[in-house]
Amino acid sequence: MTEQRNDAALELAEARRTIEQQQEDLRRLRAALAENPFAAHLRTLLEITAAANVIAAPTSDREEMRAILETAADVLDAEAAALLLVDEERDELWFEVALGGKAEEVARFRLPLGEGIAGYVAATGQPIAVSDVERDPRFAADIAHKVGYLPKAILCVPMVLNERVVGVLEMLDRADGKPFSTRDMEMLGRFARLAALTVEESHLTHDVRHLFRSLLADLARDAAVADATRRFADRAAEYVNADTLRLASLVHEISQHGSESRRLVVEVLTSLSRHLAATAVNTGSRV
Amino acid sequence: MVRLRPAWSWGAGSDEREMLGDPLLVRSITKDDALGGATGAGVRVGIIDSGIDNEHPAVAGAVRGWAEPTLGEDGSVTYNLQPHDDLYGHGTACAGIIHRIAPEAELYSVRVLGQGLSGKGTVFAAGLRWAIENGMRVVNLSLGTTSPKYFAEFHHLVQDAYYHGTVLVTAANNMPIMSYPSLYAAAVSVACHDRAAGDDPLEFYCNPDPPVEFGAPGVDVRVAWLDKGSATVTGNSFAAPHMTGIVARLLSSHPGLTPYQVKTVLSVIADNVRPRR
Repeated sequence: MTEQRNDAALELAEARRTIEQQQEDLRRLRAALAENPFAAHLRTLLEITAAANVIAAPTSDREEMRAILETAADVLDAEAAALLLVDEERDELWFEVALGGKAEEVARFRLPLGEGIAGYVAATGQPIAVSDVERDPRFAADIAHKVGYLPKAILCVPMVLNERVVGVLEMLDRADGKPFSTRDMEMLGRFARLAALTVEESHLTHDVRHLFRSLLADLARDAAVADATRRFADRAAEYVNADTLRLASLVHEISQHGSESRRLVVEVLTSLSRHLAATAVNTGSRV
Repeated sequence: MVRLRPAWSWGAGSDEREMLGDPLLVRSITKDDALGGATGAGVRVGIIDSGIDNEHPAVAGAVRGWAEPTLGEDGSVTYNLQPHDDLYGHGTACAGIIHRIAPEAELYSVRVLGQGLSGKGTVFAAGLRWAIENGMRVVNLSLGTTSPKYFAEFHHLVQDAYYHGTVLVTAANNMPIMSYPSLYAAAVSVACHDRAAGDDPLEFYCNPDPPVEFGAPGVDVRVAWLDKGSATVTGNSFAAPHMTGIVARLLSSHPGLTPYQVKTVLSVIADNVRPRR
């Protein structure tokens, strides 16, 4: 499981490197586009590159998902959009991020998996686009019927991670009034992949934080190191990231080698704690 | 459960099934030879999906049977054979597409969606098993599972269907993810074809680069939907029932064809294949 998560983190890092590479190619693409203004595929690449500018610098998992959703809505020219995550225990979907005029109202609702476009996509993993629906009051149940916004067109694709559907991305109503196309579906699928990796990163961070606290709690049973580790645990939990997993593992391993090793661990943790505090004060960024 | 026959049980001199003859002559088969005048009469078609609204004008009462597998707490499966409705609209859309192409085919609604995510792969497999064991000649699977833990079970079922003479028409996933059973060679895997407008109910294309083998109308297609309404839809899951309807027609006029022969004929009469004269 940990290996899979590390793989997912690596895959996300790889995706970001790809995005950076796309940014590097921007100037060349612009030059090529100027020479051939009708090259539609180059426009597509530029759209993706433009998306990269937004997605490459997220500050939190939810903000990253919002950035992905906003960029997808921009690229597909959608009037509104939503990112819904699956709650497997309750067989429901809940709105992680919603965009558009009724976004705040929409975000309050949870949806049963047994109805609506989003429910079908989450249950089957099959992306679909639906528009011009006649007479189906349940059609809009998956987004905004309850708040008075009745979309004419919906494009919905699954977010698949480790062979499971963890959520769906929905685009509502193209600004030009046309139905969503297979090209739109393919494009939204790429954003869904990014969003799924962000979900994985979010789970990873949560799990690492939990693991870190557990390891440090074990260590803190030794009275001599209790105060230092507790202070460190409180501090580190705010800044934990994927690399911290390796650090936690090392701490655990070293602490198994007797009192001398544990004292060494205390020194390391104390230094790290000061470093984390200084980093937070100076930059406000994550470590 | 269908039993595999040992390879030596086939008696070359005693087989009376319809044969295709010289492989080169197969290429001279035309679409009219295969489908002309056919209506789907006498062919049972299983639709494994979200249920069907049998009162919808596009379906026109073509549903002859119902099954809904339910998973018990002990893991056992029971089948509710009472009529049910459609939860999402998707199953009715598929039924309408099939009925338009093969108006006399007998439809069977196998509802496997709507009971929650827990155990859904098992329920899906149970629905497919019911269809195979209850004489469906063609089964529409516009959905699949992405979970590899069901790989072996679905592989077994697809093999059973193949040897039982049941043609499984599956929708390939529109996204680059693994989806079973559309990836199995014994199934007929379908995607929507951008060039297929859907005006000609018998229009479809052959793809020489599997796993997707056939392309059919699935872009901006007008279909039946919930509450006796209609909708414009796009997705591979709407291309699959188009091929299911064509297979039902083919089997109604040539009931002796095996799944292998069905694929062969389809690959010859596809719109992008130049006939040999």
